Amino acid sequence: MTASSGFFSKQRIVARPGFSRWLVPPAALAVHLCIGQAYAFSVFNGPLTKVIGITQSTPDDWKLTTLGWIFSLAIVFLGLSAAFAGRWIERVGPRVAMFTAACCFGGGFLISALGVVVHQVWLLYLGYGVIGGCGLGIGYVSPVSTLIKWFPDRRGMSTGMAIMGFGGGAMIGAPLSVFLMNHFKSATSVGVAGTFVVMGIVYFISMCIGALAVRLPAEGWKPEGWTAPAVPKKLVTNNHVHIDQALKTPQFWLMWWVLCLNVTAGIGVLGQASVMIQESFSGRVTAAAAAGFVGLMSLFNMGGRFFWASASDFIGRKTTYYLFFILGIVLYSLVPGTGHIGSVTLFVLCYLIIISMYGGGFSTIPAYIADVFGTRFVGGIHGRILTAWSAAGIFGPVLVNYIRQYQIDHGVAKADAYTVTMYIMAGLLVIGFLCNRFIRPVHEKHHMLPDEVTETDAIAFGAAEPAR
Amino acid sequence: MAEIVQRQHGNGVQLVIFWLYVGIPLAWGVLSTFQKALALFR
Repeated sequence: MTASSGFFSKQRIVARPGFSRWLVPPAALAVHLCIGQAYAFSVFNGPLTKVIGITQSTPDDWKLTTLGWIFSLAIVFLGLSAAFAGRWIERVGPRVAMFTAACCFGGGFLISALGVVVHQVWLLYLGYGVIGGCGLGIGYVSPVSTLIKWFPDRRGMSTGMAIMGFGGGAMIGAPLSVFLMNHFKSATSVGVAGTFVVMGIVYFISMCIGALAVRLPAEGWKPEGWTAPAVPKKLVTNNHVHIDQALKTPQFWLMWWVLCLNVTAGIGVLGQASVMIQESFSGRVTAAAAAGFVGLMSLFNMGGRFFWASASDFIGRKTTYYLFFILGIVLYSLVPGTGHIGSVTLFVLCYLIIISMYGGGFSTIPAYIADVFGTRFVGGIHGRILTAWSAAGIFGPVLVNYIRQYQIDHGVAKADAYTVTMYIMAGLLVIGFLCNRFIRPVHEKHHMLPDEVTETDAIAFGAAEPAR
Repeated sequence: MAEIVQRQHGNGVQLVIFWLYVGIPLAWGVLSTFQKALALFR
């Protein structure tokens, strides 16, 4: 699968004149809706603890703590593969990358199914965690950078559509998994292995359809009736920064922290939402209502990804992040008060806005990167900045859990145990606000020269002739 | 001209099919989640 020849080559997927760019978002969604299943992996945890005992866990069954590593490994390898495969993704193009992601993600499920059958947890770590995690990272980045190239006039909206799919993937994955497990369940099986096989095949096919449908715009293509502004907005550049050079700029690290802090604040409360609402309104919010709250948060997480990224096309990326941080500081500070006055409605409202901005942070960052570093290596740079997600995945839950436990151990009532955490989250957002404040246009010494841009085009496309 | 019209027509059908392909599962997932979310208001 070289970059210059064959079915998978970049030149093979350069769109012909007349191709509708609106075919590209569903191709991206076909991938993101599949890999978004990762957030629904917890539905397998219960059944996986009863693979031997079937109706109840036996001493030989896997423990929840053992199983927890599967998801953690998947998220770590998502970040690592997005970071390290970035250059490769840019070189080989989206079809190869999306097909590779399909093989990894679908194959990961099949290896995990084998792991369940032979009851070897390391096969689940390797299958879903390591190989599937690589599929997540590669599948996450490649369609996003392609969309940015198709929608120079609506970068935020286009990336919002794809990344919204990642949020929506869990909503499909969870009920689908439950349906399949019920279908395959028998007196001798919890139905997980069969479910893994079906999901692996379905996701592989769906992602391959996305890989087959994706197209790259021809060099110099522009949307009809649109011309790039002669004088771009302050932060938006018409130049390009090389992926390796980007790491040497302060803007890269400031953006890394902007994403990390925004995600840390959101991810910390996302995992604790159910417990938090029940403890804050003890006796008033049932477990079923708390589950409803988590469902509502998922909807706002998904909707926020589209809404905020689309809004950023009009108000600018920097302003959008300012809004995330300022609103976030206000809302995190308000949350303890809503608990004290006993207003469930205000509590829920604050969290829904917070979680919409958490999703919005993910979907706005690729467009922010394209504005600041140009579009040439946006996928690779995005991949490297996504390591902030992995870091936040550790910081966020650890902060919330440890601070809560510390409070309870020191005699604080459970209902009040989150107060300090919320103020710390607000403090983190102040730092995020400052990082965003310092993001300025990249110094021109970091820009690629015109002949360097041409050279990378020649390497990537070979003889650039639209073939399909 | 005929070729262009045909291609655009083809694109239109493809567009509808492809958007339905991703839209229907997404709508199903959103509806399932929304039904769960209703428990908060009961």
